[in-house]
Amino acid sequence: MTPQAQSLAAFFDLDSAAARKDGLAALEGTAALYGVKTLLTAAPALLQKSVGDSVADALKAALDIRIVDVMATAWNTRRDLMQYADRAKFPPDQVIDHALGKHEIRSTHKPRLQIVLDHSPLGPEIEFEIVVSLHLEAAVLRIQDARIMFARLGKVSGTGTIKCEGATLFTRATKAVTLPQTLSFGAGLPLATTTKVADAA
Amino acid sequence: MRLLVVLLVLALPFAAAYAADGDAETLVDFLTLAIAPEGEDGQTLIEVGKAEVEQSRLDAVIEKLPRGFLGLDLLNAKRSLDAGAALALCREACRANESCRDVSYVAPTNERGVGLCTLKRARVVENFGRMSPVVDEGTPVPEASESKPTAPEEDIAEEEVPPPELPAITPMRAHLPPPKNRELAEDVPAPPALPPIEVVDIGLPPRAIPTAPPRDITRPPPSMVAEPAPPPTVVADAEPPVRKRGLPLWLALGAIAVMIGGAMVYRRNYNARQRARLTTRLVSNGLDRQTVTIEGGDPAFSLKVVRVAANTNARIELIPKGAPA
Repeated sequence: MTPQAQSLAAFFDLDSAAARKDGLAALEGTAALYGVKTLLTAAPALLQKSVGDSVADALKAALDIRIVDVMATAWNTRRDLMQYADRAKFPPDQVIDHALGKHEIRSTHKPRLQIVLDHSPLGPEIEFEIVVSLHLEAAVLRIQDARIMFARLGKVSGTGTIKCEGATLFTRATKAVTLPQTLSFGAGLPLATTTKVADAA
Repeated sequence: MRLLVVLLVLALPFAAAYAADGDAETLVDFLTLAIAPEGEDGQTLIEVGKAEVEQSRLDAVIEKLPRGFLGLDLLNAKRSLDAGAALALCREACRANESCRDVSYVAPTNERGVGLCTLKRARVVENFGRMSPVVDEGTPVPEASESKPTAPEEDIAEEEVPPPELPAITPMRAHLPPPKNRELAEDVPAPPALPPIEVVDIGLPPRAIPTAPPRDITRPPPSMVAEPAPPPTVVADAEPPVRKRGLPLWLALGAIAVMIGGAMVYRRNYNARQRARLTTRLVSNGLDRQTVTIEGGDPAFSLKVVRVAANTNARIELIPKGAPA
């Protein structure tokens, strides 16, 4: 996986056996998983033991979100970047490097999982809360034709938690996030319109 | 047919001789008595030998005869002896003896003044087969009364009687009856003389010296009566017999490994099937309700560099903090 393609799963280090074991142990104490296991009492022990792994695999799939996308979404919400969406004022042949000072990006989303036994839902859906905080020392965004084409990053560090029913399953301590110094967005990220940014705000 | 008749005719004499020999009872002398006159009418039997006459005893008997009777006149006397009385006396003696079967009587002569009564008994014949007496041609056949035993007898052996002299062996042809066709018999050539037998030492190899005493290898005859089975012997300390393994060790271990491997494969497949029954489906990744906020980030001033692509000249603007872009 390239640094640019680094996902939140790698951010929380879900591939680590130790982190996974601790997270599943915490998941065992949740009411949702307890109810599911109650329903699996008559099932073979192998199925009862495989519930945690199955949920962890599904959670890993839910965290397949690139960190760069989170950052881009956050930058796209800044009001000071909306002026570059005016093509009359900033024609397409004009390149703008916009510098940002120290800032923090915070992302929160709540994926939901459903345990299925023999193609039938087993118990209620399990909802997780994933919170990611990224601390950027500086960033220079290159904007052209109302799109963010490149980004040059300073030092980036991050922290985050995964919770289920208020119980913290995974926690990532604040530490550096390995990202490339220059991020390329290909054809560019279109800047959000004023209306969207206003709604997001 | 004619030849058969000739053979039958030739065989008739042999059959007749065989039948006569079979019916006759061979008798041998076993006791000789001297009949000595003791008076005008009396006669006395005196034993003078068991197998044959012993001259010393006979002389003693003659010496006992009455002088007047035995005088010179006796030899020259014309006194007739009663031979019938003497023979009767001899037969009486035979009847008194259980072993006696027949008698022979020899009348007195001028040289011997007494008569001799010889008792005969049946010869104890052992199973030597039948054999007619062998007599050379021209030799007179001895009288039956003087025939001597050809087989040893118990009584004779006890008295150490010297064996009698056997007559010379004569060919069997001499004993055959004269053939009817004399010319035919003379035409038969005599058998050729056989060469003398020579004993040649061919030097046999030395006999193997036995190293162990001979062992009786004959099997005892099976018992006709069923013997009871011997009680089983219980040996406490005896080691059990070593059983030969029927399966090599490597083959047994290989079979076990194959069975274990098969069980492991089956178990793995079973577990995979069981796990496939339980899945967790991602209902929503939550991005539709994702909230992303950016805090801070506003530097003391923002640096904006505006460059035209066609023109290398750039315009740099410093935007104070909080000023609208």
